[in-house]
Amino acid sequence: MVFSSAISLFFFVPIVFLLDRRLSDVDAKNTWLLLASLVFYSFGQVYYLPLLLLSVALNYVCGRLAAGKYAKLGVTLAVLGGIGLLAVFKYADFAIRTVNALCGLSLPLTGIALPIGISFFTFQGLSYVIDVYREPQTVSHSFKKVLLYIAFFPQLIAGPIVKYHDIEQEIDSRRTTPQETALGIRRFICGLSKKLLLSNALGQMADTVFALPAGEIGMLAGWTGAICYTLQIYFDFSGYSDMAIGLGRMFGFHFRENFNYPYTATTIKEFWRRWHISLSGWFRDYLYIPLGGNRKGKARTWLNRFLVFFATGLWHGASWTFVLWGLWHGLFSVLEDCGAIPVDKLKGKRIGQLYTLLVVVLGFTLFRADTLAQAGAMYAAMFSGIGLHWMGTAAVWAKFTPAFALMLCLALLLCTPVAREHTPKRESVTFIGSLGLLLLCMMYLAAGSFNPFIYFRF
Amino acid sequence: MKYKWFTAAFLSLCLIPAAGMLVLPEQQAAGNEHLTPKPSLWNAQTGWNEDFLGDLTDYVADHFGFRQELVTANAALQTRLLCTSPAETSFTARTAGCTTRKRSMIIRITQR
Repeated sequence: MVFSSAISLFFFVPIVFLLDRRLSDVDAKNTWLLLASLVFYSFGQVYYLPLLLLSVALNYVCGRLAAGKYAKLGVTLAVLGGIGLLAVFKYADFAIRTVNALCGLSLPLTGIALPIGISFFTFQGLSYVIDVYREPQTVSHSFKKVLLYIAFFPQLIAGPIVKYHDIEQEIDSRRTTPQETALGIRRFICGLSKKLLLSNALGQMADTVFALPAGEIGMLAGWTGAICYTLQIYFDFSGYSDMAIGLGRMFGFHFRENFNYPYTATTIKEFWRRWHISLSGWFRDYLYIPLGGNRKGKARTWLNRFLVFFATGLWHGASWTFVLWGLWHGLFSVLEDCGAIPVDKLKGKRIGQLYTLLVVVLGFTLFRADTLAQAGAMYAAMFSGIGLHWMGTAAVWAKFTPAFALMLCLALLLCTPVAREHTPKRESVTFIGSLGLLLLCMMYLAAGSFNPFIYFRF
Repeated sequence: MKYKWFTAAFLSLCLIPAAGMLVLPEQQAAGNEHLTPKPSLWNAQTGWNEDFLGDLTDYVADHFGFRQELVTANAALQTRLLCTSPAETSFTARTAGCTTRKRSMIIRITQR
């Protein structure tokens, strides 16, 4: 189920919320939220529900082991189990395709469908076991609590990746006030609007450009498509994070922020402190630092950074375009580190923002492309697509409606803190505005089209 | 108090389409759209419907209460305020100045 669907907005969210409010006991609330979360997952892929339960059970058992005499065994089993699940369900066909291409073989593909949110719930489970290994007193003896922590529906299938100790206390005891609930609802509507009104509008333009034949993309179409996709993925994913944070707040949970205006960053390192913060934090805590971080000399630091960005790219998808996207960011991160890019002259300056945006837009072009050849065609168009290319230009122009122009302007404005600084101070005004946005979203849903979240496939 | 009013307004807005779907008679398709039929869990010929929940999602998307009114409101907003036709192929109107060959080519590209 996606939050931006009619069944979620008109049935699932209000019913789960109202019944949660009817319950007074926190244990009963937890049971109810757990059931709701499992139903939520079942709407996506009911046949993968046992896999989710198996993954949680594995992490629960490994957590118990990691807190006791067999700590190393516990953490090793959890890591092997988690990587094993990802290898089978996410990367098997990718590996086979790569072997086939390299060796000229034609090994059959497994055809296994990707379980929704596998990367998220696997990483969340792993973080729990590793944290228990590091601090055994944080272990949970209740399977139900671990299951709720990993499967809680707001963050189950597209993050943010939450750490157990961040919500452990709220699982045991939480308080919801009318103010907290209202602010959570406002945040939820804000995320829903980002997704339905902005991201989808920008996505239509990006899809149009990326569907053009290679020879028909000119410079204008190329840059329009790349910029629109860069904005689309931000509003898509940050919108989902807003919805998750808002829903969490409605039920008494507080998740950490996942985005902090990443497109205002003036270096790539700063960009990664602002983009998908929970994933960057995960890789920092569970991969970069265990690899030695920056404590073992410069060469090793750079190697570690490349490894982390390689893993980040691979985490996003089983394709070389994702891996290269990760390495692209790794390259600029290392270049900034070694002084090849003068970070001091860029930090906090417009030129730094332009440099970062250029790297990010070119990176997301690779990220969006279905194949390396398509990415190459886009780059060729963006940098040398001079000429008429009237088919591509006409296709872009056809989508450039006044409604699209308005959404593009709003998107450009809202990806900077300018709008936040000018938000009305009176809460009542923002509440009324939120209800207006909700009505617009409902109208969009009614007229609607298919609107899956980009990050669901990770 | 404003927090409670806001929460109540949110829930009402969400639940009105749900209630409308359950209480009002089933809406008929407007224009040439094809609405998803009511899903069934069991079919005598094919057995269990493994994609029942997916079908249910599509069914609700097509049949929630006051959907037609919201579609009409959306169309009015798009055309009157944003000067944009909500219909997928409406852009052809904006290319009225193009030759027939160009128009058909644009349609081909955007329908890919």
